[in-house]
Amino acid sequence: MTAVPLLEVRELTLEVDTPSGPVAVVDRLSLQIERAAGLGLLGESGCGKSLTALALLQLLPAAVRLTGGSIRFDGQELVGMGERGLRAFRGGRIGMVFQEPGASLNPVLRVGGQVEEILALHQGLGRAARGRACEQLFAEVGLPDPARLARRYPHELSGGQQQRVALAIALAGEPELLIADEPTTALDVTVQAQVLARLRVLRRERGLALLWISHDLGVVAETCERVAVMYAGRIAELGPVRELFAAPRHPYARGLVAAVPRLDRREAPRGIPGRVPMPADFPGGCRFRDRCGDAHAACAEEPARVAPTAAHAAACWLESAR
Amino acid sequence: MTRALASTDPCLDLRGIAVRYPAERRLFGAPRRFLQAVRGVDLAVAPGQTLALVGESGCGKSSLARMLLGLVPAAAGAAWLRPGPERLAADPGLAALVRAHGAGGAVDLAGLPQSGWKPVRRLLGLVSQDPLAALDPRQRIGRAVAEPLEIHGIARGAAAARRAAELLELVGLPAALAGRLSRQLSGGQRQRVCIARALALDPQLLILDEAVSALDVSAQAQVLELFQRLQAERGIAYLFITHDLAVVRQIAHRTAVLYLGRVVEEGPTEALFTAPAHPYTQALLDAVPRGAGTASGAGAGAGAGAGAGAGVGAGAGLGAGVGTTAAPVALGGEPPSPERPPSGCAFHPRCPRVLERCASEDPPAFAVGAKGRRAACFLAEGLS
Repeated sequence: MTAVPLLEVRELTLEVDTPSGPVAVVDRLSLQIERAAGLGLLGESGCGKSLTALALLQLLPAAVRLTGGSIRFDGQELVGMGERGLRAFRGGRIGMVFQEPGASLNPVLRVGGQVEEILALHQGLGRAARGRACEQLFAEVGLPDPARLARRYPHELSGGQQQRVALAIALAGEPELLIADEPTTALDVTVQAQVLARLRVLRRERGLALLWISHDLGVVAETCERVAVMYAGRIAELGPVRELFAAPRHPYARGLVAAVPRLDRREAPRGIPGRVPMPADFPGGCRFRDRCGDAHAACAEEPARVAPTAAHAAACWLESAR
Repeated sequence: MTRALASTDPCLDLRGIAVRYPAERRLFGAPRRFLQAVRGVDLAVAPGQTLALVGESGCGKSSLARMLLGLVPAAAGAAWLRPGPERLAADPGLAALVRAHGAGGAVDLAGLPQSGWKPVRRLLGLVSQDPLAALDPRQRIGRAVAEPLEIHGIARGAAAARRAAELLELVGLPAALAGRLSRQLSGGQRQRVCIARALALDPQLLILDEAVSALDVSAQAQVLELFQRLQAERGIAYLFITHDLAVVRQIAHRTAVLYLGRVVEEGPTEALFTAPAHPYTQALLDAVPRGAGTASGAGAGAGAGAGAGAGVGAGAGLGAGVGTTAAPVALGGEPPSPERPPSGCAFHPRCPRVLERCASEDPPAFAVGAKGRRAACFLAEGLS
């Protein structure tokens, strides 16, 4: 591929302080998203997926330090870029949606005004044009009766409607990349299905690239073509969604797939023994080795990283034996 | 007694239960208006079995649990909790309660005076969604598990601590954790502590209110396994309240689907999942994203959804054992507010198979096939 990738993350390292010294909760993580492509970032709580998303826009909490690596968007380095420079990306070329729509909306402003604010900031539209654009966005995300709804306050809307408003705000900056952190987890399943369907249409019509962060394999399968499975701050496996779910290669990815209860038949889900260690307790070498049924002597050394451009690869010593 | 039951008497038997909340209060006197959270619910849980209660937000599943725990009163109906004969013989407090407020060896939770709840707590326990909120942050977990033993005068001091250690081991936690605080544990471990505490009084029925929903999938699988082992070993019945249909299929003997405070379908889990009789059940199953395991997970871009925000990915793997021969049902809109329930069948404004009469007539529960299965839909009339 000769074109510059839309998003190129290389060796991103995020550290927190623990009683036993600094620990990389995201450890030399590399990933890449091409234009209009969808990548799912899948993992359990504490694997570093949400921190990765926040780091992309330099929105990290104070306790987390970015200590290394590069984040390039359309060839431009975001690490070290000042607040002023980042403004064009945050909510502009890069949109974001979070899990709790109630928390990302301003409770004392009408929802239409919150969309128009972005339209003024990133597209410089005048008052009348903003109103029209807002209504169009509301229609696009599947909100009924946009003109009336725009005058409502967040608390007057249902959770599903709030999340659609949050999506409209994210789209108002005409983003090329949408970062979505578990945006449908708090929604009812029928409403989730509607939002996912709208999102597929939006992606197709706008050529929108997607970084979808989730713990739900089913949702990732419905939104993305490729998926990266994260464990303890590193990518364990990267590959096409269907292929990875049908035949996972990394022992952790295999465990994760087997732990998901199946809707299509009665078959007891199997848990992975043990639990994700706290960052201070990450083992050296492969970070999964304490819980891995296939662990052997070699695992004390870290296996080769997954190349962000690989078609399908796993960071596991068993890979080299394939 | 209107409904024929299986050979064993249910340990919990709900008849026409209603729960309502005041929606618009007056300064004095009765509220102006009520919100009907649960309307005329009939349900039974057999001893040692699991009944799943599924539905979306606002369907009344949590109100039902709150009513069973005595946190809100029942506005109508009866909720018979039936301790076995051995329990009645072993627990004089319970026997006295049944004599005073019961009939036929069962006690009606809907008509229970405040003083009657303490003996009931020994039979009926709760494990809720958020274990961190359910545990006192300053209490050692050994104490949290021992406390019910002391409150009910079963054991005290060192004996209670020993029993608490046994209970922790029963749920797969090392007894050495007894000295820890809840925040020092993982989410899965905390939920095990709550389960150990719920088991302390040797209940015959546990209400599991979204008890695995907040856990990561691998912890979730482990806790589900624990629930199944406890049921096999100790014959505990579960009322399993959840929105996660895949979990239901793995754990429940029977499933009841709630919509806006009513049971729209109830029956053996396998039958309900393989051939849903109510369009809402079908729609719920169709809305679950398919991914792992089902090779037919819909890829992005393959979705054909459009139209009034109601489209659903047509690529989603229906036919993978779930659902009937019918095409996937895509639901538009959201569940209506229980403050303003639609006329007739409450589901009719969203129903893809709506008939003319559905707007004016509320369908009764029709029997579907065998095993006491029923569906409140005119389409199910005559399916028996």
